Amino acid sequence: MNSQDLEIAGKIGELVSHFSEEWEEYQDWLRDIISSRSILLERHRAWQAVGIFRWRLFYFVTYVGTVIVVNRLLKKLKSICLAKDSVNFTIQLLKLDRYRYILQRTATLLAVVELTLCGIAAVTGILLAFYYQPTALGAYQSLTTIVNEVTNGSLILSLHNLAGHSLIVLALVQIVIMFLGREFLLPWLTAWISGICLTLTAIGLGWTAIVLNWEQTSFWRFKIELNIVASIPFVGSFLRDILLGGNSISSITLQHMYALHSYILAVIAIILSIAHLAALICQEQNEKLDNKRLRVTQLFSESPPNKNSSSV
Amino acid sequence: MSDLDLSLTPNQEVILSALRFRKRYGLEIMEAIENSGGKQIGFNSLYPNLKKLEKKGFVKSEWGNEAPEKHTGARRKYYQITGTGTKALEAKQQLLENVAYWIAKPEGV
Repeated sequence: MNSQDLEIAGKIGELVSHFSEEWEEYQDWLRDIISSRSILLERHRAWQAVGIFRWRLFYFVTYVGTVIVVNRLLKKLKSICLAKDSVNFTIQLLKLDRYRYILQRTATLLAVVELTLCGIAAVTGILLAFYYQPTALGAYQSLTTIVNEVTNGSLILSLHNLAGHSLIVLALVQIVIMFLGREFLLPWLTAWISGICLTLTAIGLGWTAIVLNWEQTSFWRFKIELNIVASIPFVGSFLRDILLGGNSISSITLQHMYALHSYILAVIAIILSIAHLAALICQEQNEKLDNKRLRVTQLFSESPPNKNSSSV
Repeated sequence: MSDLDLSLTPNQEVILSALRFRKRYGLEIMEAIENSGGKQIGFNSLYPNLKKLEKKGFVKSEWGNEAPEKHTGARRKYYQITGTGTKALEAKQQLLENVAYWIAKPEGV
């Protein structure tokens, strides 16, 4: 063991001694690490002894460093709590309540908008289904007919597209809002999980809608994506067969995607958006009840003691 | 006193036992355990355990008379078991005794 290790130990001692409280408590540990090196040299080979010695120093530094950081943080927290008088503390609490209220309210409003978008997409989707033909020869033609010849067809198709895209964006924003106002209670967890599932469903709806246009871009894009799906280990080829319904992209593929888009994913999206909104409303109701209870408790704790009881 | 937490981990029990009749410093505790044929406590777990025992009031420490170490200036600390520590150790040993002598009640009684 060379003098370099002792120098390292010296530097560690110098460093830790800047923090008097921790140094007072832990310096005997460092001393014993240095004292133990002669025993290490007796029992182990030189390189092993150096390794163990350095490991002990490293552990000491990490442990004491953590203790120093934790102690400083605790002191800071205590000083903040003591410095604030009760009025300031109440204001802080009120601010926190206000912040949570705004987040919860925003989440509920977004859930209402999401449900509305789902409704718009569903209604316009049903209207489109009157004219849309899920066949290789008829898909593009029927969409052109809807846009050019059907009364308000262009508006209905645009509304359907807009609702679908907005749903994805809002569902993603909702995830962020819900993360900021996280509570880890049952209504929040229900809303959180249903929100994530809704986002995935909205993305799935968008993805299945790509091929329904039956344009060159959508056709080739879908071909590439099918290859990606097929490359998923174990289930890839199975999934590809389900989506494709044959050897190549054909009318059957179109019908599969149409069924997925209109009957399965659309229904799931509506159910999830209803569950999401219901969970968020439930969360708000719980919060209101908690606030009421808190106010009642404060009222009782602030009320003066009953004089009648003492006079009896 | 009844709700005083006298629980000890196996390592803490061994450390307290090493301090039962005399005050010792950290490395000496390790040596005592090792030379008595006991399971060796890791060097890195000895000191955190000693600090925990000190916080619980089971041991108290005092500075040794040795000169500070020349490279680091670190001083040696001696640890001594307190009355509470002795009680905790006795409680643990009593528990082991009770476990050893416990007999199941005959069925139907």
